[in-house]
Amino acid sequence: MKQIEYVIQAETGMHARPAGMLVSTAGKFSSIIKVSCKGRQADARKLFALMKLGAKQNDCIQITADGPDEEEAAAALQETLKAYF
Amino acid sequence: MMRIEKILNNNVAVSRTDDGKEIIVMGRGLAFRRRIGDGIPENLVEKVFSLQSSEITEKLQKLASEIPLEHILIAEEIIAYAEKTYCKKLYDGIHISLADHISTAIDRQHKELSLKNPLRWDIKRFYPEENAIGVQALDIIQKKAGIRLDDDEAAFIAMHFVNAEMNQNMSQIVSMTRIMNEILEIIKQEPGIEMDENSINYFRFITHLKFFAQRILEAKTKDDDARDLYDLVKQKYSRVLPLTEKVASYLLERYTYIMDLSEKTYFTLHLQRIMKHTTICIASPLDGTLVPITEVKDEAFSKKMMGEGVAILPDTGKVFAPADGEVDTFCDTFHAVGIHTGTGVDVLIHIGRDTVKLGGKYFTPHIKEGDKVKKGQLLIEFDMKAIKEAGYDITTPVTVVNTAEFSAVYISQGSKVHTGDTILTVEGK
Repeated sequence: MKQIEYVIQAETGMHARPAGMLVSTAGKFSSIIKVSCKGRQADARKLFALMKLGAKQNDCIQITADGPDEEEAAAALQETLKAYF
Repeated sequence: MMRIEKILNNNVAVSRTDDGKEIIVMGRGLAFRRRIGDGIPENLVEKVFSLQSSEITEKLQKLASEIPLEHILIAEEIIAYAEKTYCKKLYDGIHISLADHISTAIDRQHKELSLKNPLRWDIKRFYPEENAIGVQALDIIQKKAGIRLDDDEAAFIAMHFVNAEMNQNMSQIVSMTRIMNEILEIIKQEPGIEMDENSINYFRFITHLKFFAQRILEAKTKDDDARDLYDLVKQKYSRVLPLTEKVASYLLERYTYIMDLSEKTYFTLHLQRIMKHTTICIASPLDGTLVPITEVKDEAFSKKMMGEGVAILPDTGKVFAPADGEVDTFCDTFHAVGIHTGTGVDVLIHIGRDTVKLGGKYFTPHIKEGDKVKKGQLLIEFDMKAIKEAGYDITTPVTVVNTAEFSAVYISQGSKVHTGDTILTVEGK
């Protein structure tokens, strides 16, 4: 299992669009990918669930990838976070 | 040659095979004026029974001395028909129960008494093959006994075959059928689910239901760990799973039966297969002009990362619910709302581009997260003029974010749309 932590830089937090980017990246891998924030967890493939986390600027999110391609998934997710969060 | 060991009446005798197995031999007059030890002329033999259990052999001997030979032979002809035409594997008990039943039914008919079968239509629906055997049985009885039994009798005979296939008693079959009915009623009440009763998958589902009902009655649970498969089904068939859960909670309440993960998994898989490819219509949440999603100036939408859909350039600042459902997610900036429809479609309505930056200014919410909404219900109002003047593009994408869970999303053609017009048609898997 791979884990990433990231502090959201974007002023507007994890709203619909960046969440969509995350879903799109997560969808390319077969690993189970979960996103947690403030004690709540969401499936990274479910846009509404991600949006409901209500992650704001300066909130820390943890992403875990568990599966055969967890390494590649973690790297790609890291890129998505940097670009949109 | 077979020799008589015991005479039950003029037509029925007990004998033994060369390897010492007890058999019952039937035929008109085969024991007439004969004694123990005499040979049985082969031309008189109409039926030889060689049954597995001695208990059934005993019962048959008793029955053979109580009912006419003709009735036993009619039952045998029906059983042979069932075995040949439908390749049914039957428990031996049917030789007794069917003969007994037919004999009573014929007597009843002679006395012009008929018995209504309250399960007649259910039998026809749940056990079509057995029902066909029952119908054929009426013809055989008419031909051999010269009497036509009521159609309700076909269903009774069918029940004997269901019994014989499952080695159950009659009251159990009645309970099973009731449970099956109850489960089907729950499924039928679900909006958006239509069953194709003529499909092979429906027939398979009914067969599954039959054995499932039997397990419920016997309070049997499988203890194999189906967690992995269940998780997979949960992910893939999220549209059907709630219905399985509904059935599970009904069974718990009504029969204190706990539907375990493996039962849930198989039930869901069957349910998934019997569902027709349902189409779900998503209505326009706004009055305005349709814009292809690929022309939206935001690549998250134009590259369909937010799912398949269409955008609307609004004419008015009022957003209405696109279908019956629930407010699944609602940003605290009020510019985007996610509706989970009762039919399992997740619709995102994103008012304008980059409007998250307004922090809620110019938006008036009329709902909150978790609210149930009806199609056409007012969700959000926004000050179109002010948002435009603040420099924002107000083109509003409407997308199916769980597109992958469906087989297709069709986009309506045209230019002007009004609230309530279908803009997206989602086809189930």
